[in-house]
Amino acid sequence: MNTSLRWGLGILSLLVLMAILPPPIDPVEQVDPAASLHRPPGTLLHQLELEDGRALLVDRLVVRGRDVEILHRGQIRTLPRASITNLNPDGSTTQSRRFLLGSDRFGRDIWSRMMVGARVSLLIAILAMALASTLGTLIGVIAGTSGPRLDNLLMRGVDAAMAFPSLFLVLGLAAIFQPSTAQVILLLGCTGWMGTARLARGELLSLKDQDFVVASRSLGQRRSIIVLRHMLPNALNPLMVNATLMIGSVILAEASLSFFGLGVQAPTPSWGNMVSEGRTATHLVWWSAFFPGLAIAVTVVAFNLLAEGLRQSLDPRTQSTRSP
Amino acid sequence: MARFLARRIASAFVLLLIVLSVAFFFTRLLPGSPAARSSMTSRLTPEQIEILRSSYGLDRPAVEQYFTWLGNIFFRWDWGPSFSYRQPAAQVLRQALPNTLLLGLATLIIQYALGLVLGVLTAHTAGGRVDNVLRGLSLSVFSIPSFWLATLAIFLFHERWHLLPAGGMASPGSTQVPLGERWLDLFHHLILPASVLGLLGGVMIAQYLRNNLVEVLDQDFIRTARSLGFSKKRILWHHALRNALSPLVQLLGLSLPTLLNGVLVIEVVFGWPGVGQVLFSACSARDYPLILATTAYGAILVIVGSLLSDLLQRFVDPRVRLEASP
Repeated sequence: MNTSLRWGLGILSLLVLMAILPPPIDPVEQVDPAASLHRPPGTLLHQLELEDGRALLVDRLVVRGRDVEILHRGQIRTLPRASITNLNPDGSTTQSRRFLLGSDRFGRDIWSRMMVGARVSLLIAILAMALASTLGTLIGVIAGTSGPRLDNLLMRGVDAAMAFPSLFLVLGLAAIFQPSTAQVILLLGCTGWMGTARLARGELLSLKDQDFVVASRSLGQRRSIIVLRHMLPNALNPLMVNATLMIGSVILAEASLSFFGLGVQAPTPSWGNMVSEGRTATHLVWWSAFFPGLAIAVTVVAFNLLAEGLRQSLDPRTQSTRSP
Repeated sequence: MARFLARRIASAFVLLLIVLSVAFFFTRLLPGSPAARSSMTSRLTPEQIEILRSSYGLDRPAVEQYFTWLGNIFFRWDWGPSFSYRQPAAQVLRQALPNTLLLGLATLIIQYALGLVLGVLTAHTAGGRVDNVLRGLSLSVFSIPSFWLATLAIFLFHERWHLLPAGGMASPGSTQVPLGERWLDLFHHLILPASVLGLLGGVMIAQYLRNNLVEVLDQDFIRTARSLGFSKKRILWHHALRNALSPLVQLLGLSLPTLLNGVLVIEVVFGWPGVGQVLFSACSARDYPLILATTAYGAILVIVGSLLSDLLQRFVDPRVRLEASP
């Protein structure tokens, strides 16, 4: 196992852990937003449940006899002890909120939202990649194994699709369809297959005249068998590396789409729409845009490392000096 | 040369035709008419919608609409009306296009200047520490979302340090000042968006150039030059770089869609009034003719750009020029 592969897998397993563990704080619910918005990373707030059903988030609380002194929204106030329902005998509360990476403008925990965002982003990326890879491989195989006429036609189609700056296309389509999360997957999958198609076609064309293919053809094997059993397995390595690389770019595409408000819709958190929300704040609350964006970057780096590692370990001839 | 040019332009034209047709049928195949999906529909009676539909020719068969639309584009450069700007779409884009070209050009200059310097530097010290740092950096730069970097840049350089403006192309009231100051103001506004995008692309170009240079430096003619006693610097800049440059020009054509994607994002984040900004506001307003026109403009930019970079490559690399077929 080489270094790239080890690092890629390491970071990715942490990300998967982040995605499957339950978030410590409800990522959508807003509790006392006026008291908890835009809090810096590491802030600890105590949650007081009042008799009338309201909940207060306070910075500090001190029990003085029958009263409780609290620091709430920057002011010191006193509440009767009996009005608070979740106070322990020793004067601490049963509930508290720690904003590990700060809170956003609705007082929601950024770390918890990032955990749910990891689920959304990884799920979309992997499914969209699977769709794009399948489509691309299918079209590439058809182009690479059929006659020159169909090949030419398909490749001109690929050229046309690639001439579109993909983000223009995706943005335009998203605006027209107003997609749900499932449709975002469909959209990204259906606009990302071209590179794979070119790669698959090239691989198959290079395999077409190799001895083992000629041999099986001369043995009278059916063409579908030759393609599926003999040619495709030999083209699998570059396609796998390509698919892994594609996950990174799909994550970036989804993030851009959500950043523009056309992908995953609020209140469902995704890293892209979190950066977008954080952008409306000022530099004094830098954490609300910084951490979700960092998560995107780290994830894409992880997948790129994984792809690089796969490429190195699958192809023993690779020289490290020629890596892209 | 003329034959190459004619063939290249003809194929670009066919490509453009395919792109336009696909885009057209994509928007027309959707359920419901544009009028029914437009934001003002709730205030209109069915009769009024019918009148609207026929005034835009939307009640005709799709094929007829398609040829009318194509004819208008090719003979009059008429892309239809923009609902949200209340202007012809072509006019909206004519105002936005120079701004996008300016930002794109500035980005390209920064990208290639940065790429050239860093690329030569790292090829010079291939395998060394600078080289390794840059390789790690290029991997992470490749993974940074541009809108995030742009947001952070605005936070730091604009909001915190008040060094550079970050929004639009001109300061308020700048129409009253002399032309020289207005240019300076424009330049100030250009620095931040172009640098963010230039940095992202530049590191990638540096990495690409480095790999090419390392390969070229391994060849026989370099060894000959070295044995003739040329200095290492001279060999690198004169002999190797010229040979490594041709793929770089090719990269220019191939990277245009990526550049345009980047410009689109950066324009929206920085409020730069270009084609990307137009697309974004057209998307928000669901202004279909304008979405269609902007997307097509994007494709045209890419097609024209790659045609130009092909020509440039023939100019830079005599080997390509001498080949019988392009």
